[in-house]
Amino acid sequence: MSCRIIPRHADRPFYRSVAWGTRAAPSPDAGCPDLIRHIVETASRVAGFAAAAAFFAIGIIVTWEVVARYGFSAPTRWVEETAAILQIYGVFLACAWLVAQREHIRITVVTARLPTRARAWLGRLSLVVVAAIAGFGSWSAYELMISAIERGERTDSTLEIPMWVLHAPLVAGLALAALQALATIWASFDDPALITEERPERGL
Amino acid sequence: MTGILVLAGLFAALLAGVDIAFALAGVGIVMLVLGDFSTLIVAQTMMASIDNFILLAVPLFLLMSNILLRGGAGEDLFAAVQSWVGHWPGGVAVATILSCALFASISGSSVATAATVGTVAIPAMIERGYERRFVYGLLAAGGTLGILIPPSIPMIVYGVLTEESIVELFLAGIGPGLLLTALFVGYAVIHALRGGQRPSPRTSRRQRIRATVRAMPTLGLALAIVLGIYFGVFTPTEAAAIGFAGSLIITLVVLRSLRLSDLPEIAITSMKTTVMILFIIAGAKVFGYALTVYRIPQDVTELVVANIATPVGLIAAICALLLVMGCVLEALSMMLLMLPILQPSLAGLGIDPIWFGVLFTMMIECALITPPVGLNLFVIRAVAVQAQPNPVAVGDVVHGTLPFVILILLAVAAVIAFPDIALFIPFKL
Repeated sequence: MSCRIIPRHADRPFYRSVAWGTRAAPSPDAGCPDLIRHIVETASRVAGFAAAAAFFAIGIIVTWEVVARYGFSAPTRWVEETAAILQIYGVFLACAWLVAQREHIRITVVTARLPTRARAWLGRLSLVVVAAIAGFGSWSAYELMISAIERGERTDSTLEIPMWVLHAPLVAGLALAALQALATIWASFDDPALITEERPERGL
Repeated sequence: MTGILVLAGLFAALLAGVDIAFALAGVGIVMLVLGDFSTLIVAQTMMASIDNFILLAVPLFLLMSNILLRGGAGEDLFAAVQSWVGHWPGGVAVATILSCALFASISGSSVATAATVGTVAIPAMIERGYERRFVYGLLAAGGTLGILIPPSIPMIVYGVLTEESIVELFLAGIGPGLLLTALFVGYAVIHALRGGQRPSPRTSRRQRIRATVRAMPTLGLALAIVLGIYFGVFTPTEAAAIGFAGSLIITLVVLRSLRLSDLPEIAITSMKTTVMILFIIAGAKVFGYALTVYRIPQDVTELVVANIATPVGLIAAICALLLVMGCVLEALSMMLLMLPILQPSLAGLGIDPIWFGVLFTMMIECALITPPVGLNLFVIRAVAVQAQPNPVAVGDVVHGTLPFVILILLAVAAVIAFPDIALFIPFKL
């Protein structure tokens, strides 16, 4: 299970940018852990695409707000809150995909100087920490969401959106990030490069 | 004692390679659990930190700069500027810095600026006989203008964290940005006087006009954004939306340098950087909340006020600390780690938070080009490897950036000595 998916048109930039870190679908005789790992990775990728679409949608609706406000003197009541909610969904849904692709920023000044084997084990340890923190965050968000549902809490705005709508992406996104971290640890035993390859050109 | 333990735990997690966002949130969670505080606040704080209309400027400015980048705006700007100044002594180097400054006005990111201009400028300069190390240093340093000249993503983050005006921060970045541009250009010309490189041939008037006309839509968009913010016509988030829509119109309709099929990749690239930044903010907010309930910032403030008498003394000490930390920490995390601890101390000594925000951003510029973790060093190396056939070591880039680190520190000293370099435009013009 160490090969990568090579989709049609794999030479195109779009596929090059999204295929990094993706792995082949498990063979029919693969064990349950491989199947679970494949499901988690697929869910992370789909959530990542949804997040990208959400941010693009934010661009469109905020532009619409500017046109409506300054062009037609008719500001909308829904754009500001909808855009902020889309941003919450975008950030937390994409979190798992960034864990899968090791795109979250981390400091490599020490780990980069370690032998590959030690780097792999430290990478796995750091992913265990990520899984624990994301799992705790998801649980905290779940408690908050249940509390909001029981109290019937809504946003203090014109749209009066139920608060659980804002909590849901934290519950789902952070839980998926925790599962993705565990899936990456599992996959790294077949393919250590998943956690030892450094990609330093990230950041501002 | 608690503060020292907290910082030790955080640094251990960071140096072990735990993702910065998770390390910050994790230390905050441990502090809250040990202190027996409600852990529901973890999710509440993370959600509230992202539920912010001002922060929408981050994905929109990133989308804008990625659209323009893919649409070839960097090449157009460089060609236009080079057509006017390329024949001067050191003209290609001057054109490179001016292109960086211009691209900075449509990009809030140093990486995007360095990579975009570097792709065209590195081969052009090496072909003209410029010393390779100088070329790499010039591009790595020029790229840092991206976060000082507005729009600037670190300034948006600073403004959100400190609850200061993003507009005032943007405007305060213009003066130091122009100062640094002038220093870099001056150094490029002095370096060129040593000889060894050939200026570009003088271009004809028609070529200049053609190159300038092609760059005009991008320059017009940059000008509209800066002037719109300056005159209070629209907020930074609205300016970012105009930039997003404008960049789509320019690249898809006017220049036809982008295809609709390019948009998914642009959306994915922008999403990754956005989530990377905003998720660190979410983690830092949890960390900041935990620090507050333990009263650590207040303790630091008391310590600072008791031991450092003048604001300039504190600023100098912070800049020295940031210079050292910049060698170990990534730029954004440096800001998110330090601000919650330092902010009350600044207020305690009456330091202008806008002025401090500009100084902090300039120190981040230093961090971006100082080894071993300076991001622009790696970006320029990667660009240089693709752009020309010679092997490139990170050490070559580091060697080249040294004079520019000194120039940035000189500019920091100037802004400390004469705060009006930053504060004149937002408050006195």
